[in-house]
Amino acid sequence: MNKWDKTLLGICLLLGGILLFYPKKGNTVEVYRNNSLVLSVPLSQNQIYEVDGKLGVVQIVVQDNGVMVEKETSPKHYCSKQGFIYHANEMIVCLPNELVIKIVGNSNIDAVVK
Amino acid sequence: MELKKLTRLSGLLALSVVLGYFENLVPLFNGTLPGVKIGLANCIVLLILYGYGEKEAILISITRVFLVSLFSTGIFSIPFFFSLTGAILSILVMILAKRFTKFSMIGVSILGSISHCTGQIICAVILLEMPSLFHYYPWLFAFSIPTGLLIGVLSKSLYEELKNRNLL
Amino acid sequence: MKKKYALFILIISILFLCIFFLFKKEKQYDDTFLYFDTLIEVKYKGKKDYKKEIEELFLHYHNLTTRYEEYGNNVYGILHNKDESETLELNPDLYEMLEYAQSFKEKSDGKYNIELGCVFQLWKDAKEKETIPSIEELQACENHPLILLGNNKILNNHPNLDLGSFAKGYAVQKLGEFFQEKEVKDYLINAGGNVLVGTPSNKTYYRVGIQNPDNSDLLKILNVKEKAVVTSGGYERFYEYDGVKYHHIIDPGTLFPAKTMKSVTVIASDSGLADILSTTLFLMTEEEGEKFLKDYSDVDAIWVTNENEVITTKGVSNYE
Repeated sequence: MNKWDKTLLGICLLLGGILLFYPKKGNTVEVYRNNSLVLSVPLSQNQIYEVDGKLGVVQIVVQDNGVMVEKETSPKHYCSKQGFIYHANEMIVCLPNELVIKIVGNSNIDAVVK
Repeated sequence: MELKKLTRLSGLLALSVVLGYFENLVPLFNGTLPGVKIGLANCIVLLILYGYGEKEAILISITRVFLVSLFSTGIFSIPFFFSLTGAILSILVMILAKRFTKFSMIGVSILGSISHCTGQIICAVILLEMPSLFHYYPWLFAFSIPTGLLIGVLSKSLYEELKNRNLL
Repeated sequence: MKKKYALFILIISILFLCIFFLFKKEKQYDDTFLYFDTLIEVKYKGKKDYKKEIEELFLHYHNLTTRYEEYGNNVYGILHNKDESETLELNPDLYEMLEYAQSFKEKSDGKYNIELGCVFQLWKDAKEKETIPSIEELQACENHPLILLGNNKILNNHPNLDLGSFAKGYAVQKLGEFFQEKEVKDYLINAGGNVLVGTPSNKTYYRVGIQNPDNSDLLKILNVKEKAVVTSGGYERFYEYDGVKYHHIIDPGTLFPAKTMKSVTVIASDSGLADILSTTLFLMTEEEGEKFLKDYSDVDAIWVTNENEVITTKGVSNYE
């Protein structure tokens, strides 16, 4: 393995790192309760949603392409303290309420019947 | 082509087909990353590229894709096109790298590995019309680096051994 | 040497391109339409743009079923025509719909009833005036029965019909059949919550979520292909009067919005059937509903009762 190979390897690893960790744009907010999907809404629509968490109703706010937990009943209010997330693969985890809120790049759901 | 060369190349082709076929049977990452392989067949391609020449490498490379598809996914099926694109891009990049750069077989292997998965994903996105597949690219790229390195090192030592024993 | 090379690569590339085009790339189309008082989204993958044909199809069924405009013996015409003849000849497509609806009236012992146009209208008018109709007004409605005479003819006794409960599903079904005729296999039609899907080309199933009646949660997510999913519920279109919620699915017995169920979702291969069934089942208890469904193989349902209990038929697990 000559010095050129080593440089190549170095550059590739760097590129790989950038590709893997570059903040990706998302367009959908997904909320999971105990690992099953309970809410899937567009990130682009400013709206307030209510989801049933284990300890009660949790209010989730989608605004300006970000999402955060506004109100929740939990001992230390961990979720709401986490503030807004804006990027895909970021998430807000609310253990007491068994909720995980993430932003994903592609919506999993094709249609909703009401 | 002289008989000795023809025989040796045929043997190598057969070997690469077997390697390619069995590699496809082992799903890595539990299906979360489609099309990801270790690329053992590329070992053979590298040996041929350095041991015989560019034309031979192209020929064996492409024929291998046809034969493996014949035995598994079906010729002219969608996965066949992914493999073909990957193989074509890969062999072209490796030839250019061997001719115009100072990389050793290892560097060439890494470049071949990267271009193979790149070719596959581009083909998949175009044929399936799912730009969302690019989502997977960072992982494929990342995985192709160590595999390219591994195959490169393996091929280099194999090449040297075989050359020494005049078996190539 | 180099020339041979170039030729070789050129030939391979051309071969490749040829096979490429052999696949005749299909395009993804995404159109929206406004009919039956709803936004209808039609997504499909095909070789041609069918927007015009889809528009014509929806317009055709809209015209047949509208209660407010005359289009040659359509629903409006049936009620308002000044024809002196005893019988009225209808458009065969409309007649087909009426036959279908009436067969449901029989099967459901009158629970599903399209002849209550007068009652529905009173509720619609009351909603606009932000009040509720009185029971006397509702009972004063003369609900002339629909008499089918065969050969696309009905008795011209001016029945007041309202096909709102299944016109959408029926039109969507006709669109699905159109797509199948044109060999468009990958399609998703969403008519305000009345969903019909074909077979997706880049995955195994479409994922369709069912809204929870009480909040914005998803009750269930179903993996479907070549099926219609339709929900009937009182929670989307309702209004409040004096602190009480009044929705739009009227119980023929009480003449008031039905209180039996919170929502019913039906999964079936035919979207018109799913639409009619979801309304019919909404007007029954869950036990009656299960019994009713015995006559339909390959139809599944999900009930959300007033006590928020979620009951499903056995087949629903196949979609999860």
